[in-house]
Amino acid sequence: MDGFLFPGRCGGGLDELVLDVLLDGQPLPPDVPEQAYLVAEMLACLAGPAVPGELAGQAAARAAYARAAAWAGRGAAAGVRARLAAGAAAAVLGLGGAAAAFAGALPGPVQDLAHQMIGAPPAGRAPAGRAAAYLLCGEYERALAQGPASASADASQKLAMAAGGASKIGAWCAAAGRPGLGPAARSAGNPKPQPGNAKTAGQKPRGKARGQAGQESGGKATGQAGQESRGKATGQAGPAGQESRGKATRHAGQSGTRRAGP
Amino acid sequence: MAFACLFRDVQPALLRYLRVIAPEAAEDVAGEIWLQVVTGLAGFRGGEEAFRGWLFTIARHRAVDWGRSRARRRTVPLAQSGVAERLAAPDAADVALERMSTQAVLALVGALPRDQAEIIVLRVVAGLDAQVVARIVGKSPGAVRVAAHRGLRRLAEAVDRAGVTR
Repeated sequence: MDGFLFPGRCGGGLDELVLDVLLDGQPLPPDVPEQAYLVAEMLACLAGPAVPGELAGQAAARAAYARAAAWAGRGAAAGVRARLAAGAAAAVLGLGGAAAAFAGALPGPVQDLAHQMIGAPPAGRAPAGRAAAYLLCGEYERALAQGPASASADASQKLAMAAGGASKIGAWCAAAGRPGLGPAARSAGNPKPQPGNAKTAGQKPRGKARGQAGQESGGKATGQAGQESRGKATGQAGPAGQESRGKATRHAGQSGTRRAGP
Repeated sequence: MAFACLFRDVQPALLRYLRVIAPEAAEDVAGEIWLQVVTGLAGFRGGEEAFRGWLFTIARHRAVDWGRSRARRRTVPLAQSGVAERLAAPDAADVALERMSTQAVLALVGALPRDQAEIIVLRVVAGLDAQVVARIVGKSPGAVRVAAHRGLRRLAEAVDRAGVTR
């Protein structure tokens, strides 16, 4: 870039405190130079959602993960535990399984294996946090809206375990930020549509580049655990599995660093 | 499904980091990193923040290894070829507000001195705090802060010179 190595005007009036605020993604204080807003915009862009092509390599990585998870199962005592591990991996990696695992909602031995495999809470602990509940309720909503009846029955069972009873699902999900799952919604099979982005509580307003451009993350029960991947899983992140998720939009959460527009 | 979410959450940030520190081989190095990550994932006990710190630590090691093996294979002087192989010179005018894109800003950041560029990406894109970044890059937190500030000022200057306004 011409002249880039020769600083012209100094980075005009951006003092240390403003720069720290910019780095932390916090809202800018009043009376900062115009330049600060521009830099904030740039950083928000830099950390924006996935652009097409940035999700390539998922298939290869997922295949490697499935192999590693299966191996971890075999590493435990052979025989019954190995079979249980394969089943647990299938449960964990299938529809709602991971969300259920993190919510502590799997059956005891399966939960313990999820604890070993993916660091979910061990069996016997209370469901973990609103984020896991939000995910679990979201899975169920999507299953109701899209999936076969068996998927929603499955998700409903996991939710009932997490919420402490089928009759408590509505209130539990409402507390987690998904109020569309009261008994009327469930029996009608027609939940109110919820906003698509699963923003977990406490997430920074701007920050990690997340692949959330208009995505629906549910609906695909892949159940790849224990499956030996045939063909070439060489770990090269090729274009296989590239997922085009429609228009990449900017993170809504970044508005804190922008001034209200003209 | 947990893994797919994990991948989608992290891969864009990882690729952007690698484009800055291993520009010609970002996807390849990312593949190696995920292999290492999935191997260790079953035993990983921390939460999301710890996971990202761990992953980006691996990322830096892999990128350094790649840089060394590339240097060994090289037959032309490093300084010369490094400039030649740089990404096409970024144009600060591409960062005009109405055209601002992730790729354009990333190209500008990639043109910064390497330490400033990687620290900005780790702080801003990977969302890591200053202490964690300091550990990953092997500097003190104070030095990390200074480098990040210098980088941001340079970015501000670059768009200033290009006459970009909001």
